[in-house]
Amino acid sequence: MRIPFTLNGRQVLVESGPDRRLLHLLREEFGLLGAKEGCLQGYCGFCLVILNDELVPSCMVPVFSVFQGRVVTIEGFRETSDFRDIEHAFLAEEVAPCPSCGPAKVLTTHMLLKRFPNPTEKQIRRALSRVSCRCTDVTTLVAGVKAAGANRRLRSHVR
Amino acid sequence: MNREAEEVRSILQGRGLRIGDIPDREACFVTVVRSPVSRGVIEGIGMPELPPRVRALTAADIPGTKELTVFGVSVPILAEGRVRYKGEPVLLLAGPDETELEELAEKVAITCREEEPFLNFTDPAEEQIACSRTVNRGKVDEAMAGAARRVTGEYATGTQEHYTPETQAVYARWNRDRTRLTLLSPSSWPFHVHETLANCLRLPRKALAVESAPAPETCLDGKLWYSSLVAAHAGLAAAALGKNIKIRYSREEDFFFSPKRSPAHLRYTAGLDATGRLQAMDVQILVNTGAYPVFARETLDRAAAAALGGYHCPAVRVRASAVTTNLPPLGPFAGMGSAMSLFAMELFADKLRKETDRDPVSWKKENLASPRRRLIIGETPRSSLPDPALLDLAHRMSDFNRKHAAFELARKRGAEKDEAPESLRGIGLALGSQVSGFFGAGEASLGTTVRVSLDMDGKARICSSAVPGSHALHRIWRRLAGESLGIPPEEIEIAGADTSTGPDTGPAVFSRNITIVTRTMQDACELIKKKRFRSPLPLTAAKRYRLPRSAGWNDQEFTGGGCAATAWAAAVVEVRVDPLTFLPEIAGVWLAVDAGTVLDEKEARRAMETGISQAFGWALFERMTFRRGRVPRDQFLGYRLPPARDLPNPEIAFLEAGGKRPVKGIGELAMNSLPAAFVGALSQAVGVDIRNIPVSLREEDLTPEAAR
Repeated sequence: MRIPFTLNGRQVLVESGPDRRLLHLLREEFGLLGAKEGCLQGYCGFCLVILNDELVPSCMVPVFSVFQGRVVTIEGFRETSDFRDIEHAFLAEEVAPCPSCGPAKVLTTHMLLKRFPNPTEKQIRRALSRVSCRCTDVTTLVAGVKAAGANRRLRSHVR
Repeated sequence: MNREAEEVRSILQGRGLRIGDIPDREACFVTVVRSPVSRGVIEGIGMPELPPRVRALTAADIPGTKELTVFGVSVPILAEGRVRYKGEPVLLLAGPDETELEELAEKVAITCREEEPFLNFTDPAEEQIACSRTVNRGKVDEAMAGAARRVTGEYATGTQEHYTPETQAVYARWNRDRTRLTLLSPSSWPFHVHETLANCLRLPRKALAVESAPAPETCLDGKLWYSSLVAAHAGLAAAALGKNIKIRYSREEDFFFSPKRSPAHLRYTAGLDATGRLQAMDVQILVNTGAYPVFARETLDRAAAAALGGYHCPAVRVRASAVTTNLPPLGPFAGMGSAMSLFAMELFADKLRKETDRDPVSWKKENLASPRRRLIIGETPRSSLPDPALLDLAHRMSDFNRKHAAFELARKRGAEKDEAPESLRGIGLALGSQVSGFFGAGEASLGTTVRVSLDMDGKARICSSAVPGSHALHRIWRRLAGESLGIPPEEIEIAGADTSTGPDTGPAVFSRNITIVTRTMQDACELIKKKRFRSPLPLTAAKRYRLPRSAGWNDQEFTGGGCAATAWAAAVVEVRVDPLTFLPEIAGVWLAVDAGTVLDEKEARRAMETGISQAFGWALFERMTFRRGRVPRDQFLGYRLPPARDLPNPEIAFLEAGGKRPVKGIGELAMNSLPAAFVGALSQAVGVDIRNIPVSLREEDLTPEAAR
C-alpha cells in the first residue's frame, strides 16, 4: 500500500503493509528514534506523536490511518519556538526525564499548553498521566510545565 | 551549560539513545527459547531446520562456566537438564533477522518430564528453604508467659514489577580484529557483567570491557544481576557468530520473565505489659525468592534487622527464611527486606496500641529504641537511632492527633447510626528506616574503589564504575570534589563506568552511590589534596572504602554497627474513601525525614517523591500474582503504575540537628514507611484492619470477617 502523508511538515510517500504500526514505520523507514517503543499497548506513552493535531500513541496507529494525514514527531517539533519554551523551562526547573519518556513528556506539555495556555495543576497532572514512567517526580514536572506555559504566554504577548 | 544539562537537553530533543536504539545495521539478534514448564527435566529439544545464517545455542555451547554467581548463589546461563521455572532460558537462536528468529523459536519444541512444582511459599517443604536467619535476644518464652497480654498478627506483601523505562537490553560490539568484545549494558553492576562474561566465554579479562548505558535510568535494582544473564546471552551469540549482537526484551518478555520484588508473609506475636510496652516478640518471616535465591541472605538480614522497626523489646526471637519456588526469580527491589518487615511491624504496632487503647504517637514514642533501650541489632551509633522528634514533626505537619481522633469519632458515630457518610476518612502514621550500603559487614567484601587524578592544567578526573540513577549524582560529585580540591566544578570530568579503565565500585544499590561511593570519592580527593603539597602534578590517588573500625559486626550474634548509616522517616497519609466503591483518594502525604547531612536538598526531595510513587504502586496500584507458575496475560495488559493525577503533592521536611552527621541514603525511605501509613489510614476509613498489600478494594475483602 502506498501511503502519502505529511511528516514534520514534509510531504512523504511510503510503501508499507497497512497494519504496520506507525511507530515502527517512523523508526525503521525514517530513522526517527525520538518516539520509543514501550508497552506496544498504547498505555505507557513512550511512543506519543502528534497526528492531525492530536496526541496519539504511535504503537496503536496502523499506518493506513495516516493516509494524507499530518504527523509531527519530536524531531519536527524540536525545530519550533514552542519547543524552545518547553526546553528552557524544563532545564530551568531541572526536569530531567529519561530517554524513554522525555520526548513524550515534551509533546504532552505542548498539546496541553495549546489547549490550556495557563493550566491548573490538576490539568497538568491529568495530562502527564498519559506518560507512565518511574523516572521523574511529579512536583518537578508540574513546575516545568507551569514554567513552559509562562514562557509561551510571555512570548505570545511580546509577539 | 554543564554536561548534565546538555544530556537532558539532548533527551528532551529526542536525541537520547537507549541501548536498543544504537544504530548498527550489521548487528545480529538473539531470541530466547524458554522452558514451557515450571519444574521438570528436559528430555529433548526438537529443532526446525535452521538456515545457515541462524545459530542455535544451548548450555553445551558455553565454553566456560555455565552459571553466573551472585554472592554464592548460582543461576544457569542456559538451563541444562533441569528447568526450575516457566520461562527459564533454555536455548538461544541468533541471527540477522529478528522476525525470522521469532518464527523459528515458535517451532522449537522443548519436551520436559514435568514434576509437581513448588508454587506456594507460605507453608514450605524443607527442601524449599534456601537459607535462614535466626536472631535471639533474651528469654522470649519466659517473657511471653509473663506478659499481661498476648497479641498476634499476620501480614503479607506482594510482588511488584520493576517496570524499568528501558527493558532488559545489551549491545555487544567487537573491535575491528575481533580480539576484544565491548558490552554496552544498563547493568547497575558493570563489574559483575564483566566477571560473568569472562567466566562464561573463558576469555581473558582484558579481552572484555563493559560500559554503562548512555543515560541514567531509575529502577536500577531491576538491572542489578539479571543484566549479567542477558549480557552472557549476547556474549555467547557474539562469540558464536563473530558478529555484533543486540538484545532488547519486549515489554511483554520483560514483564513475564525478568525478576520482580520478593513477596513475603510475616507472623507476629507480642507480649505486652499492662501499660502496652513490648515485653516479648516472636516474629516469623517467609520470603519468596522464586527459582533462585539471589540476594536472599541480604534480604533476610535486612528483614530481620527491621522486624521490630524502630522499637525496643527486651526479648526477641526472629526466624526469617528464604523460600524457593518454581517461579521466575524474585528478589531485590527498593526497600528489599526492610520494606516488608517495616510494613508488617508498623501495622502490628497499630494493633498493639489499639489493644491498650493508646494513641499512635504516644505508643510509638514509649516503645521507641534509644541508646539504653536498644534496637534489635544491639548497640547502634546515636546518629542511626530513630529520633522521637521525627514523630513530633510528622504530627505537627499533618495535625495527626486531632485528625486521627476526629476520624475515629466520625467512624464510630457513623457505625452507630448505620448511615453512609459522603466519604470515609482515615489517617495513618508509620515509622520507617533505610540502611545505606550492604548490611552488616557486607561492604567489606566489595573492595569499593574510586580513583581521582589531577592533571597539569589543574583539571580533575574521577573514575569509578558507579552507575548513576539520576543526573544529580555527578553534579553533586563535581561540587564536592571542587570544594575539596579548590577548583571550579566545571574543571572536573567524571568518567562513565567502563570496566576496562575504571576501578570497581560495586553495584549501585542500597543508596551506595550517594553514601559509600561518594564518601570514598571525597577521601580520594583529600588524598590528592595532601599529596599536592609535596608532589608535582599530575597526581593520581585511588581510595578503597573500609568499614569503620567501630563497626564491629558480629554476624553470628547479629549485632554491631556495620552499616554505613541508617536514615529514618515518619510518614503520615490521609485518605478519603468513596463509601460505595471503596475507591481511595490520597488526600495528603507528609514525611518527616532524618537524612543526616543532606548533600542536595532539592534532589533529596525528588528522590523521596519518586519513592513515594513506587510505594503507592506497591501498596495499591501495581497488582501482580502468579497463576500456575506464571503471571497471567491479563495482568500484563492491566498493570498500571500510579498515574500523576492520583499521586499526592507531598510535604517533606528534613529534621534539623546540629553537629557533624553522616550522609544517609533516603531513596528507599518512602517505600519503607508509606505503605503502612497508607494502609493504616485506609483501615481507619473503612473500619477494617487491612493486613495485605497490594490492597484489595473488593467489598468482600473489606469486611471484618475477611480481615480476621
